[in-house]
Amino acid sequence: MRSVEGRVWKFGDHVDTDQIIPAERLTSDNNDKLGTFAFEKVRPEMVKLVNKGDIIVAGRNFGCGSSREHAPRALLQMGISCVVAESYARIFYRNCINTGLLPVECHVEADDGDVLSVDLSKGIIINQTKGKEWSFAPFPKFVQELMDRGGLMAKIKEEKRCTR
Amino acid sequence: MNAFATGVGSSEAAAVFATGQLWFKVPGSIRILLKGRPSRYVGGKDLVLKLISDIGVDGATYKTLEFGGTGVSSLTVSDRLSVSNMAIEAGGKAGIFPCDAATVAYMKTVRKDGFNATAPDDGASYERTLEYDLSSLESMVALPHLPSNGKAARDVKVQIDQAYLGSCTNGRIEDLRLAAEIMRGRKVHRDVRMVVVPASVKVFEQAMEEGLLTEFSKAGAFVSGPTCGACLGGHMGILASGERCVSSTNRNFIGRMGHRDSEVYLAGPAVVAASAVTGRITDPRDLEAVQ
Repeated sequence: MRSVEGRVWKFGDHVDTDQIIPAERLTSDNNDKLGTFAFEKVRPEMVKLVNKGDIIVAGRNFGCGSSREHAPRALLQMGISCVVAESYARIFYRNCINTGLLPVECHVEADDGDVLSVDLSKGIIINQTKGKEWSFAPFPKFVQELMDRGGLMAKIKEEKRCTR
Repeated sequence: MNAFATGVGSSEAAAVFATGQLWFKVPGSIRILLKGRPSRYVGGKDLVLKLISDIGVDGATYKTLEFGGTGVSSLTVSDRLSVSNMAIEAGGKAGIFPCDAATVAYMKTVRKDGFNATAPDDGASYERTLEYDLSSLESMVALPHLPSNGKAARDVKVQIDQAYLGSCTNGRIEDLRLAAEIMRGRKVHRDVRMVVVPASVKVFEQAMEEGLLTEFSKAGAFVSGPTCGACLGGHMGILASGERCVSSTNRNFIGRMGHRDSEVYLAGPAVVAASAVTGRITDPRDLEAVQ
């Protein structure tokens, strides 16, 4: 499995899907630019400052609310590689795995701008800025395989030999 | 309802069609025991808002809420559907009720080929058990911006700009009948925009046949067809900056129904109807005294 390293964007508890991507942006026209609207109502400056590979660190119940898959897709399109949260809302968690955004369940200490590295195969998170380390339970094998193959749709297309 | 129903994303829904398979973690269960009978204007929405306020928006994360006890029979199928609909607002995977005469009667209207009722195993173990006496339950309102910010409607003093009745959470025929009964002979307050959204075409047609839609319209409400509408800030009743809405929908997150500086107060259909009349959040029991 992959390892990722990026700057931290810190969030609190209960970050909901309407904050992540407002429902009124979910039009067909916006399908490939959802990332430009991510967090626009609560943290409008973020989209301008985010770097590819950055990491979101959050508290409890990240992604609560809607079943909309646009939420993890918006974060991916924005450039976020990984979310590290104390806990997740269950549909968001599934949607992350299915779309290829890495959802790590772990409590870490980090502030905005800290550099975090996440080693998914070893289950280790290091805050490079603060010099602290945490471990997390690795994903079950079939979930790892799913994410390695680029998510659920990629896996099924491969298995079903879809040409589209 | 007496079924395990849970949400999945759109790719997963497509994957089910392609493969016939889904993966699940087997959820732990929380037992919710109900007793007593709710008072006149109190229903499933008030119960679920109280429950979410007690356990928090992640109080049941990954878990199933399993309802039971002698109080279940005093909840209509519509009440139970509102509760199951909002189990997810406590983080729950599903909200399941036992099967009784009301379930059987309801299922006869939607399925002709029968169904298999399900019940807890003898000696089933639960992670925790909570008990509620429905007879002491008050009309509830969840303040912005989380469904767990529940308070008794009587204790909330807030002027409103919009009253939103209906949606998947509370747009069934019993909900509309209750609201119409409260509004009968009354008008929507001059400063309030009221939007009525039946949950389905079937409910819309039944409400039309019963004359409820005409009643809402004559009271000054706007009646919409079944739609997700303004619940998620879609259309018809999107809130402007600073506007406040009392809504029978299921989520009151920041900017959920429109501008990020608007506010959504979640409530059952009776509170929405009473508040539409007075222009401020109102416990329906207090409506007579107000006028």
